[in-house]
Amino acid sequence: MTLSSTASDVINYALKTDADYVDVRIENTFSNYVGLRNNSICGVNTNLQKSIGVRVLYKNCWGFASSSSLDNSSIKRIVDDAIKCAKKTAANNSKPPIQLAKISSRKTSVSDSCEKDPQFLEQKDRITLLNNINKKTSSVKEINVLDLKLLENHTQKLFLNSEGSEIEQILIRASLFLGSSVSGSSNFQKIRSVGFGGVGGIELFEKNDFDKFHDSFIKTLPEIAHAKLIKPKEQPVILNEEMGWNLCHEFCHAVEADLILSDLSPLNNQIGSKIGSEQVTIIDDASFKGYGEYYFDDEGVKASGTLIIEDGILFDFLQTRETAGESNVIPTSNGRAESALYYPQVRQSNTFFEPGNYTFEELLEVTRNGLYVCDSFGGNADTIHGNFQLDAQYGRKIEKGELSDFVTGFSIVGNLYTVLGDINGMTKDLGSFPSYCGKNGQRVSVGAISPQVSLKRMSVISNIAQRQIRKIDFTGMKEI
Amino acid sequence: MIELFAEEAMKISHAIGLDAIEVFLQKKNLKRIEIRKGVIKNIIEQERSGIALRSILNNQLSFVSSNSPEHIKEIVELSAQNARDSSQIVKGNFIDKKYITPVQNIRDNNLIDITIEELCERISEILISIEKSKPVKNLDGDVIVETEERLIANSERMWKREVGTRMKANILTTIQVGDFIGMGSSHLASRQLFENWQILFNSSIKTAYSQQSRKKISTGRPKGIMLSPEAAGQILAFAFIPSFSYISGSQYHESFNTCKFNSNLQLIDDPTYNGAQNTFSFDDEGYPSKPRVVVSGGKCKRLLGMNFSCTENQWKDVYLGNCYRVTSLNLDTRSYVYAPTVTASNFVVKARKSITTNLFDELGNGIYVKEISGAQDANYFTGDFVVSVVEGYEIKNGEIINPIMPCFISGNIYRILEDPTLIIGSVLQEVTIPATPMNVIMPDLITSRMTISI
Repeated sequence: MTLSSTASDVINYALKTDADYVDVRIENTFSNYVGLRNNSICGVNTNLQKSIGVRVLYKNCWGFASSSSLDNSSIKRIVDDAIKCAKKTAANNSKPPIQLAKISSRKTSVSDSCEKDPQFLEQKDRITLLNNINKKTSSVKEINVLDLKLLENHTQKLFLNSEGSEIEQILIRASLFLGSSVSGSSNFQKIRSVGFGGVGGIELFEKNDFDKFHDSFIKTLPEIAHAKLIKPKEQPVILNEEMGWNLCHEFCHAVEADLILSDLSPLNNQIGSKIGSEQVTIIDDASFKGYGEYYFDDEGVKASGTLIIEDGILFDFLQTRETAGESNVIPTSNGRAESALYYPQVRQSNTFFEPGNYTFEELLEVTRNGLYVCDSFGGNADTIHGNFQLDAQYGRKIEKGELSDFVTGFSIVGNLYTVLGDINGMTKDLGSFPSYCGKNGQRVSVGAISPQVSLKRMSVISNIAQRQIRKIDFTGMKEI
Repeated sequence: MIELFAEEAMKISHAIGLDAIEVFLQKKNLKRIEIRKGVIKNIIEQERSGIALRSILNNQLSFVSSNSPEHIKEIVELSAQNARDSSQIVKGNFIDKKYITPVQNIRDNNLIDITIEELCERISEILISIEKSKPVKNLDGDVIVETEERLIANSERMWKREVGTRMKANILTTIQVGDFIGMGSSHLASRQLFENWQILFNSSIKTAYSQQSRKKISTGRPKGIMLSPEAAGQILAFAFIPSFSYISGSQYHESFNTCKFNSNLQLIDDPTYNGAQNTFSFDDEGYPSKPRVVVSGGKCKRLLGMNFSCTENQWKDVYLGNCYRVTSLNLDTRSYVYAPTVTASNFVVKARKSITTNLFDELGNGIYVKEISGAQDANYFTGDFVVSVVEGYEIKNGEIINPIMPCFISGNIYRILEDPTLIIGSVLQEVTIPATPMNVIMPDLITSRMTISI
């Protein structure tokens, strides 16, 4: 029995019940991981996964059940469980019922293409690739630990619903993460971790773009190893592409409609308000080429772009069919689930600042004196109050419009709802990297895409404990 | 049923000439109730099962996982192919039959029979009573009951099987009084059926109320900061505990032999801790569980380890038995899908025995940090961390004076735990770290080695 006929059987079985709406998702994933640490292969792992998830609406209440087993008895039980859950929810729910925003049904099959499909590649080819990258990188004498991780996924996704949609999509992704700890004369270790990848197979790592990325990684390692610690203060900054994306991404959690409807973001009723400078336009676009790309979301909504902020004015939120129905707007193709085992929720795809008109050199000139903040080591944000903190892997001082010393051991902090007002320029070019985002226990791939972004001020704090942190005039922080 | 798959895998591996094979089978059932805006929004039932194989051929190791054990022949063949192509060289073999436990071990089965209907009814009753209590603006959360059955077997004739259940709940309450919006959260981790849901919900509401009249505090280093088990547990989980895994590459590995923590500090990784979330009879390689002392009298004893791993063991004193199949940023943090790695189970900071005074009295004047966020970005290589204080209070003369505005606190966990003036509390609390497989059991701590920055 094919996956497609299994999905049809589920829909047909579910339609015989008293459910108002049913959707079924089936996924068949091949994923492969090869890891190399300090010149030795440390993992050759293959994972084959199938999963099915059934979501039903009964009296406008949800029920969801999922399983990793696709045999006949399991399938019927999953539908029965989903309906049982929905009935139980309906019996206990006194709030207004769920209304799904209307979408047109579709019957289509779409696929990514690649030169080296992960399903048919031999492990030897991957190991050769990693050994070559390792050979080139390990010449840096400051490296203590060097980790290379090659991840590939080939996912067949089927979506069918009781409204007549039958969608098949095949998504192929490859990513390579380079991680290292380096130390210089101070013996204080610094961590360097970056990723490269996108739609396609490992041919992505045989092209010039990867070579440039790899060369830059190698070149910065000794500089970071010998980088000095920074004096914390508020100052003008330029965020590199990865840090720029991190800021954009953390802000965009606050435009996820489920958080807005749950009062976990203060941006409700702020559509049309000015919340950023005129330089700021933010877009989420699942159809844009990036690691968060897909053709249809996990509710069968065709991928499209959403203009979140235009010229500093808040324009739109990210929606699922449910949140769009509740707000009486159209869904934005942001209903995503980690796999068919999970239900869809509002998630970002490829979210990015629209590029500006500057070259990097022009941004340096505008900034004159400040800090170039590079590559995130992690970050978090409180969407209710707006506080955010992003840890940088390293930075470079900007002195008289030019890059100077390497520095490390710092984070940037601020408030999501005021920081966009301080943006005063963006470069013309976008950088794009693979990344992941976790929400309510579900991890999805997202495209880390951004130009370089300059801000007229940003609070920079030390994250090295031995240093006394100076008092910062942090006018942006307030309770909302 | 799952034994049959394991037996079949063994037979096939023998037939195709693998030198050794290890089979890990896991079956999980998850019941999840999601509360949004004060009502039950989603009820979810999830089944997950699958098989993971590690194979050795000519001293080369491979790993394959799949949730289609009915295709066991193809999976074993793929595993053999990967082993043939692999350059991951290992010495020795999987652990042997001296660790066999022939009797199926059913552990913590208190929750196995609870139905989703029963759970719903218990929670609904509370939610209805809360809905009537103004000014609760919002109440979100989830309650999860998970049953896990796992079997580990290998070609050295080692077989083990175990069933366990666990319950987790997270509640987040928002209240509005005039212009003031306050938030409070409460968490539960249990191996038993939790009866008193009202207390859990009330606790989050009480916290939300307590956030009224928050005051801004001055930056710098206060006389003392008291960290609740929730706050300290999160910092330890990300800035400290990973460095006890011998494969983590922490810069402190080489100096652990000479590292001198506070002499009262005793740290134990204890997968046998009664009723805790990460209590198991054996690890995911089959080693029997037992408490493993990592720091005693302020001195580091051993690091945590496993049989086969990414890194050759350079450290002579490493415990075996801390192999788990885990990941982070995911609801399902323990799964056959993930390759085995070294991680802590229940990491226990032993409480002091004598209770002479109230800890607030010992703090005197300072800050009490109850809840934080952002610990996941801590640097365990160096022990440095900066976290955001979500819930904190100013303390004067041993009394809570007022809640404080959100701020950032920073420190180095090694400096904090080395400090002779560190005060360790006397009451242990279990802290499960969200979206990670980590579990910390510890008391409050008072330190003077942290800095407040806005």
